Amino acid sequence: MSVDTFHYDNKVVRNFGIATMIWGIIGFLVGLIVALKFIWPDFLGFIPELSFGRLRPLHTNAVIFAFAGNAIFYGVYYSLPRLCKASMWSEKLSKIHFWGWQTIIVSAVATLPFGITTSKEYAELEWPIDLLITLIWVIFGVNMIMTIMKRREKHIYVAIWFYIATFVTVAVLHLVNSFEVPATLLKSYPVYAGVQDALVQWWYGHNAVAFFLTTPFLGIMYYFIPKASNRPIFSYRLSIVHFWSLIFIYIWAGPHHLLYTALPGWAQTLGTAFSLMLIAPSWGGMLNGLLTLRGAWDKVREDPVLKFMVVAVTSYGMVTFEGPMLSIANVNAIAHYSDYIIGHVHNGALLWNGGLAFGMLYFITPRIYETKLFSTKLANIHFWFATMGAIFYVIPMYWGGITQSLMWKDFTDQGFLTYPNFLETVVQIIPMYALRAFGGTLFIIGALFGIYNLIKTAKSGSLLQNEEAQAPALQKHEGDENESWHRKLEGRPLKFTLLTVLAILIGGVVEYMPTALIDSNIPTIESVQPYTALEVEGRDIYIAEGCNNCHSQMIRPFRSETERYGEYSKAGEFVYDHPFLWGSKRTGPDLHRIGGKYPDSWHLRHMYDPNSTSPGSIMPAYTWLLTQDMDMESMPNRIGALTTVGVPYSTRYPEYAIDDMKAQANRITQGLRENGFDTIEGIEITSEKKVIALIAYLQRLGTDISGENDPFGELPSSKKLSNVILEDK
Amino acid sequence: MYKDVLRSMDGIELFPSISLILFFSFFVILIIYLIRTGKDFWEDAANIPLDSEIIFNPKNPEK
Repeated sequence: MSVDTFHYDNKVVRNFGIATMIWGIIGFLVGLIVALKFIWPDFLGFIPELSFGRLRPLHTNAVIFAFAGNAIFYGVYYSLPRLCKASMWSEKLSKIHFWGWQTIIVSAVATLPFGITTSKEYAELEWPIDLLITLIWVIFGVNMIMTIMKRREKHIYVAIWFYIATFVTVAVLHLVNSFEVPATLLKSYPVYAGVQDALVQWWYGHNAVAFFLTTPFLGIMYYFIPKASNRPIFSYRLSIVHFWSLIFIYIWAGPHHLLYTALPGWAQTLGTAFSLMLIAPSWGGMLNGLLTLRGAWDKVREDPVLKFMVVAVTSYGMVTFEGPMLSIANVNAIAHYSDYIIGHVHNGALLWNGGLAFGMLYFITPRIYETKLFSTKLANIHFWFATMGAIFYVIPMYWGGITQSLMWKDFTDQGFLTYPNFLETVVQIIPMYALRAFGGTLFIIGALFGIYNLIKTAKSGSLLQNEEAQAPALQKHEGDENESWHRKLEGRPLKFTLLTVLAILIGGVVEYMPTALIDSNIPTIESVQPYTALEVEGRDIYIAEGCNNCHSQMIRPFRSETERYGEYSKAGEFVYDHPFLWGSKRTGPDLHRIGGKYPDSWHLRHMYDPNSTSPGSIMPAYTWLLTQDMDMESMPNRIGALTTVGVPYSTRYPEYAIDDMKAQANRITQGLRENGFDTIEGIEITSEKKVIALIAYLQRLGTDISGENDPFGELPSSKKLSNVILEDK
Repeated sequence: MYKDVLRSMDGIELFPSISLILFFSFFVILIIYLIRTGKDFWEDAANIPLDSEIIFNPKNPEK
């Protein structure tokens, strides 16, 4: 039997490790900044690029794709070649993957704070970056699959199955959720609208958690826990069931993010049912990880790697119990839109993803630098800072979330809302926001200790760039008739990948197909019309400023919500919403029925200084909306793109779009002047300012349903196009 | 546009039911199979992460 000699490339492993640490700290710090803005809304002044609505997506993207993303690749590039007993197929592709991924992250930093965003959660990056993500992801996948193809170990270990599932599913999710039509170089509209867009987005959003923050980390768990404890996984058979059931069930659970919304009831029920089922594979996996350590708990007491990993797996157990519970309708009714969800995701992000990432860093660094960890004591201190930080983060959010939600729902004996002013419920939980920031600070301090420790460790050794290894060449085994079927499958990576794709496609297709096929799933409302050009601009400003990060546009059919906000939201009201803007969190009140609730001047004053209309408000001031000009030039292109995705504007509407904008803006400005709002503290209010477009949009929101609207009525286009704005439906 | 493509497929409404039956059967067969093969059958696979360094450690080739 011939023995091959080959090398493991530790350079790319080290690079991904460094990137994990750097982006981790940046992502955590941005998180701390946005957390501080809850306590001191004027923290860092009112700089547009540093406003909450723009920084929040930067925080989520940095932590998910930069910190956890680099951690995934760190683990994959270390474990995959070792499990395959082969070098990575192409060192060049590894390198392109590394630098390509960092480019994507840098382009996120260079766009999100400038209001260049699609508004779809965890898919905020605009279309040119989406293309780059696709390219880099394919490069990663090709390199991985080819490495598996030329492995020297016949059996493909379970960790690799999770890596394969991650690759194919993220590819499918990213492609389907990013179907968009570019209007300009940095602006696009999704082909889906309203309910469909919501369904696709949360199918994506939920499965981004599943296949970006869960499956790759499960693969990491299946490799690193046995490695660190030096014993095989508790039950390999359980891991097979775990794998197939997890990837099959997870994909169906997306609609649990949309309970009580305008999504068709059957889709909501399906989401709940599959979410409840999900507890079985999740806990199967968790127990498999924890039971691996039976008989080795003494090691957990001493080894920081195992400490981090045990807490990670325990936290995984907690959040995967919480997830199904939150999917039950009446629990969801209380927790949804509240800070409870923020606590829930941070339990997972800080301890599960963070724990495994830091556990890996402490495991791999001394090995590739051929040295010992600089200080076990310091690593233990880091561990406690991280754990306590997470506890101080998560518990106040649970407490605050439930408190606020119950206040939203509370009625007096006379049947009135006890807290009719939304702000009262916000002010109540500000102490919880302060505790959360404290917890986050502890977590960051811990991470800084960790980085110091790892740098010192690296400096005390030298990087083993190409680690030499030997293994017998893989014998051809195709003729083995007696091999059992699952074993055969594991020896055929391409067939295995295909079956994985099939398993994950099925759920998406079943959920999506009926909504796409049967029109009755989205009842149309005759009086609902497309937005005028100025309202489109207002909507795009709403998206750019990230208003949807704090305000929902989805009134659920509860008495507490219809009393507070008005008529509950209907599916047919969103048919021209590309993208949907239902939101997922209410730091401020719902805005779906804001149209006509207050005069234009209220909105003007509120944008300039929220405290002038709502004393004690923690909403930042948007003074720049009063001084920056709106974008008229690209409006014909944007109307064109919206027409392409299915909004029934007349084909000649782009020609009149700018005239319409000017006319409607003049009308609003005129109205403001008549009410004495020529200026606000020396700033002249003129019709080309962004705030005018935003007011137009906000005043339109949720008003079509009354049937009294004629949005295009007095605009120039309606006269020129002989009162035909809409083409025959 | 894509709706027309989907509508034009014959018998598309049966696809979800067929797939559900297929997947349910897959899991039943998988579990029966795993119970029948027994724990020992999978021991070599479970040890893959552990033997990569022990057997082929370049620093101790004789190990």
